[in-house]
Amino acid sequence: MKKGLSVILSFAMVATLLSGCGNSSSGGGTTTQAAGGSGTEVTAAAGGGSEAAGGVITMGVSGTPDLDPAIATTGSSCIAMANMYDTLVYPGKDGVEPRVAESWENSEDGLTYTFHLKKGIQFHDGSELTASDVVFSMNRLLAIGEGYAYLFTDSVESAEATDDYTVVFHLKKTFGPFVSALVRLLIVNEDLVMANKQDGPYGEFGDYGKAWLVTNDAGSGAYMAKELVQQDYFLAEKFDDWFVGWNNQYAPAGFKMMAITEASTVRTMVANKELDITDQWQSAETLAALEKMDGVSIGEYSTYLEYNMYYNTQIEPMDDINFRRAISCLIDYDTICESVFIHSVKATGPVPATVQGHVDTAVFEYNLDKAKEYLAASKYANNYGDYTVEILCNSDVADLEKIALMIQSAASQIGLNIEISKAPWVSIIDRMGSVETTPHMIAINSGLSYDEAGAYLESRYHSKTMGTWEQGEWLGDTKLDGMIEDALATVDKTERFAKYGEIQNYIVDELCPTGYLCEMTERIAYQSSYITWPALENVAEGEIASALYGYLHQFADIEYHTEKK
Amino acid sequence: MGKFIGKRLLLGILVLLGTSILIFTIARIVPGDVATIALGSRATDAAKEALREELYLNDALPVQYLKWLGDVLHGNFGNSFITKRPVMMDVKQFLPATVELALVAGVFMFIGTFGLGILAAKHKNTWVDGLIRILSYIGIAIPAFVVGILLLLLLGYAFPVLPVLGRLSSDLTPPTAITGLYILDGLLTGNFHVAWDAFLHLLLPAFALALGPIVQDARVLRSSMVDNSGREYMAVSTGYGLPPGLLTRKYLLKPSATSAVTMMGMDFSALLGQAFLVEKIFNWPGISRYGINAMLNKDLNAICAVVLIIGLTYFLVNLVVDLIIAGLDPRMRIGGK
Repeated sequence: MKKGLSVILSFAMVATLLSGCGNSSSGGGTTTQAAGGSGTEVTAAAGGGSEAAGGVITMGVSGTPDLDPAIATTGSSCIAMANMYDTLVYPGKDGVEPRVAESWENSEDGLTYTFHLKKGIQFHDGSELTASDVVFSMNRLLAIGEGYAYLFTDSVESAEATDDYTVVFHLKKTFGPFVSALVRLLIVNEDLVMANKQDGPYGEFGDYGKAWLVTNDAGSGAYMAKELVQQDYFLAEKFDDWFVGWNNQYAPAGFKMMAITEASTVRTMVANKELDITDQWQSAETLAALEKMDGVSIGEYSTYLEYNMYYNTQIEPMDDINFRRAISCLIDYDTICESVFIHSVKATGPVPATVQGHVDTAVFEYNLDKAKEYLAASKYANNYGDYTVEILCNSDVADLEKIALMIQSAASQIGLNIEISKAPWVSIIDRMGSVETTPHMIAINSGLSYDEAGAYLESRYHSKTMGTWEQGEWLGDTKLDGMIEDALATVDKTERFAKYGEIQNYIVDELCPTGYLCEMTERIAYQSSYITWPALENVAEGEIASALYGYLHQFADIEYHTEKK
Repeated sequence: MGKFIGKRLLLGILVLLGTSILIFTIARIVPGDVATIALGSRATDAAKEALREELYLNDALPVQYLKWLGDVLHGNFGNSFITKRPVMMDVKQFLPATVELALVAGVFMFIGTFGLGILAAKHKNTWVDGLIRILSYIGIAIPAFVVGILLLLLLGYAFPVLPVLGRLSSDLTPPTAITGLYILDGLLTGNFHVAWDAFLHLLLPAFALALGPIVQDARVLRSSMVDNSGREYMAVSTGYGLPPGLLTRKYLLKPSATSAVTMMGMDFSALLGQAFLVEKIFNWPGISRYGINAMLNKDLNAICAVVLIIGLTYFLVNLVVDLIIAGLDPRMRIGGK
């Protein structure tokens, strides 16, 4: 009897466990409906789900994207945003070009910008995009204060819609690159977002639609969100009424971003044609293996990332400029570009050469004799052997350790002690929170929020970013802060760019706070037998396609020949 | 028996409470500003402060814990920093996938352990026993993720005979959720082809997870059976002329199975927490992968929820194992005279 009871109870416990796993209302995932959705999450799939009929291009990413334009800054998020939302202006070859805006002008004092919008632009739910949506988008971004809000919080006083097709921005102070920075102001559908607001901290705006926008979109871009299964995949489908138009008859009917980076998984999926484009974090070995597969090619591009070796200028012995110069002479820049970050470009200064406002500076070369000379000129000339200099590597990026080992090897030849340590990214952020815990050296790649040198210089070297991963140098140089602020406040482009040039030379010549390892060339594998990718393929011999993060993955421009698959 | 279960439930609650204090404290005292990690270094001070308030980070640690516990008891684990939605929604999405994986792996473990264990014991000190011993050493030595990669490359890449990625083929729609387990839901709703497809997707990851425990537990079962076969009661039973099948099944296997069942229970619980590499390789959207991502990104609310759920699973599975053992072994039967 008791044995029977124990068996019954065992089954009861298992049944309890199973019922606890069930979800009475959904299959576990969430489905999104862009057009006029109710905000409630409906039946969906964890690991499955139906797709748009035919022609869905798949790509690997390191994580599923954030879909809220006021939050999205990660790599996959930028790609999703560039495809789902429109902006007033669009990144062009030499600055920006009109997109939602037809034209714009600014006042003489540079404090007022007026944008005239195109008429008849439709959001995904069919309603028209008007000036009040632009105002709402800016106010929402500033109120939430995350994502790319920092580009505007210091400068934008207010935004107003003077009529349905005219937006006026009033600035607190002049901000020269204001129009360039607007590539990060994604225009959301005010009515749709407010119809789906919940209780929240933003007064009459509730939560500003934050909860709803986790899995939904409110944009007007080429593609609209269809399904997001967190940490698994994001699926979007073509928006037929996109105002830019569909000149590309082979544009994919949808795109699917899959959170897949594991090398063996990627290899299997590419071989089976289940993955069309890989992520950019695959090792050189994996890419070489993929390239050998039939119909697979390697695509190369730049999103203006520059790998920098930050020097903590406030701790011994890195507080001596000649010591830092000596370290800069221990870095084998050519080998990094040839063997570590393959086909990357040798850096010529604090700002990548393809960014507007860049100037070539007197950067250092690998030269042990020079390193010895700088060491001899430093205040540690007689006792540098007593110090151990730490290079901290991100444990997720194996290639960084190779660079650290190269520097360690070169340093040992001149009697300098280098210690290599590794830590995951979260720990690195922790350590960079204070000057005492920031390592002597750490290699980090820095990106660009808008296409101007000022964006790079401010995030990398202004005192406001000390204590963040963006600046491990702890410069705290008031002169430099003033130069950067002055340049950013300069409305005249020519004058502003001249100031950018002065700043770059000042940093390299007078401060030497960083080793400029390389301008990163990102490499991906893609199925070139049935994909034509004009942005990557239509570049001059020897050149590399470059654009702001997200904008090279414009699926509307890619030809997806499913008949050849 | 009722008293035993009541006592175990009370102990379980205390263990979970202790686990919650421990994980909450560890998650909170790790250095670094949580708000900066969650919102990014360039978020405004107001946004960061609002998040600190939401997480009670401005209160003393004991106060933080009590407020958090109050929320948890109301079913609110807070929002995940990564997925930006309530952690409970994430758990509802990810837990069934891992439970289904663990259950199928558990079935493999049961069949494999008893099959190999009995075979090795019946043919002790023969080439069969030797072969199973060698297989055991290999199985124990190779980590589950290596087995996973080998299976993926062999059966997904070189000879693509089985689906290797995700829970379901992309052209199929998941069955209406009843338990969240695709095979079971497929069967319950009459979507047999979906259930079959889900089963095929489970084969490789479940086998990769089960292989190590199978060979380990089979060795334990084999040793225990060999040990018991030399006992006097077995000689007496043989002398009475009991049929060999009954002798093995009832008088040898039953008392010998206790250790192996206990180990299988522990292995089954461990699958939930340790499956992350296999889940990553097979792109399996499970709670283990979610938990590791949470830890790597210091996603406080998600970390606490995942640890508590795994703790709860350990408790429930151990209770089930205790009840099974009580059924198998009269000496262990609680309250038995």
